[in-house]
Amino acid sequence: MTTFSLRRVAQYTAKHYAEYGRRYALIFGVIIVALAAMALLIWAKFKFFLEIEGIFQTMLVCLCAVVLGVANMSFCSLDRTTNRASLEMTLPLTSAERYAFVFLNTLIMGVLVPFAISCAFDFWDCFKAPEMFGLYLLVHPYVMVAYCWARRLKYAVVGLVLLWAGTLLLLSAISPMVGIPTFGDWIHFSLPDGYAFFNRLAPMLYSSEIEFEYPMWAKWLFTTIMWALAYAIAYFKLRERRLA
Amino acid sequence: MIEIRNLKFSYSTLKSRTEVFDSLSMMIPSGEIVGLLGRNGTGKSTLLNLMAGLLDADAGTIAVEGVDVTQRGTALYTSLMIVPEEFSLPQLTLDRFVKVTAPFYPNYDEARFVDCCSRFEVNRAVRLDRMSMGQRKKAYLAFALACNTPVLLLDEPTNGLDIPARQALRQMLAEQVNDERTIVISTHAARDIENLVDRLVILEPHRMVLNESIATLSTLFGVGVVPAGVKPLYSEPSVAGVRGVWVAEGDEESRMDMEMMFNAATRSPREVAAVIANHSKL
Repeated sequence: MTTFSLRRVAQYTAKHYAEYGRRYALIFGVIIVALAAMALLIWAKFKFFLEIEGIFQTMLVCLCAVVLGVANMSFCSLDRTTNRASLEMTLPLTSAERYAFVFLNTLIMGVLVPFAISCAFDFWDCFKAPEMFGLYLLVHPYVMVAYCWARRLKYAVVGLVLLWAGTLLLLSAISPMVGIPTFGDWIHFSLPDGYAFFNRLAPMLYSSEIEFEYPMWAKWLFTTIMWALAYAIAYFKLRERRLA
Repeated sequence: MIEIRNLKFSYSTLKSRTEVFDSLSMMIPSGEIVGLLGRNGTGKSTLLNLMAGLLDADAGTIAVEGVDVTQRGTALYTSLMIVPEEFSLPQLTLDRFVKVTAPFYPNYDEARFVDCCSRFEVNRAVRLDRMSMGQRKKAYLAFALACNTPVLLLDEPTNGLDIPARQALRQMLAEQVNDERTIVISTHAARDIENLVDRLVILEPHRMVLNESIATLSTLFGVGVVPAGVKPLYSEPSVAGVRGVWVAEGDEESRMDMEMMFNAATRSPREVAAVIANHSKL
């Protein structure tokens, strides 16, 4: 038996989306349609807010959309409950194959779909899409870690997070001022030039912010180490497949 | 074959620790249907979950078909399937569920699946989440039987099944036995598997009190109306007189009553063990 088979990963992916495709579509579909409708209906006010608070607002949408993605994936986790776990955990799949699926699923549900949500939100500002997509890819390993921890949390906890993120997301479409008290002051690391998006935040935030400056190579090294660490943590957390 | 050596397992919480097994060792040969009996809380389901690699033992080893269950990869799970007592299934029709799940099992037999569904009277076009518990169990049992894994673990398989389905399950299990297949059935309904099992394993708290073939037990012990002058290991009143289990003399086989044998093994474990040990020495 091979330790990794793309065919089995594909079969597992097909099984997962056959079983949960409707649930994903329902939650994400409702959010996307609601945001797109709001953008169409209040586009003038929407654009006014973008010009003043655009970047912060977009950051907030990014965060909420990703949290939504993780919560939604958690609801659809095949080993969430004991009643499903026995059947799911005894499927003939290796740890590497399960990891490959989670990588793919979090990329789709935790990055691509939230990105689509934010595009629906920034309906009239989609030319920012390439830069924004880079931001979403930056958080992918952390999305994986969050999913691997959240996949077996109680339904009530995940539901509350889903409700919070969804509400915040919808309120942000009306007024970005909702989000500011939630996050407070920032400790801000300058990131490599490829993520200049973050650097533009600095002049816009409060003076109490602390900013650290590092050489370019250190910035990339830091980012790479954090990525590798996050992907590794996700792998070992995913291997913990026990009923108790 | 399932081989368990010096198994120790306990459930731990912040406040307490409940020991389930303490140095349990046993071997289940291939080609047998094994009945696993025990009182509530003695660890029958836990033992099945340990065999399936779903729980981590505190100490000891479990090997299924030569594969250490802690590996939990494709080598183990193409050889083993477990049907838990309670489980939920996705919002798919049975046909669709089988279509997306069967590819993982190389020995899956579509013709057998269709036959099992027919005998269980399961409608494959109905969504699984809309079936009753009994219907879901029949549906998943049909799939499990059709996967033809060398080891099949069934936890209370007749729980929730109607009488015709229980009979159908007994027939299908009897048909599927061969030299290479091992089926372990954990149940309280001893009578459902009485004429089916080849081996009886009985658990008591923290230990196993019996692991013996039905053929040997039928030779060593008499079961039925207790003859006059015989001291039974276990007895109970009945309309026909006192029924019980006693140590047989001679080679005549008795018809095994699993509930009576369970009571004898749990009420008089030392005596039963001594009889079996003496037989083994001979």
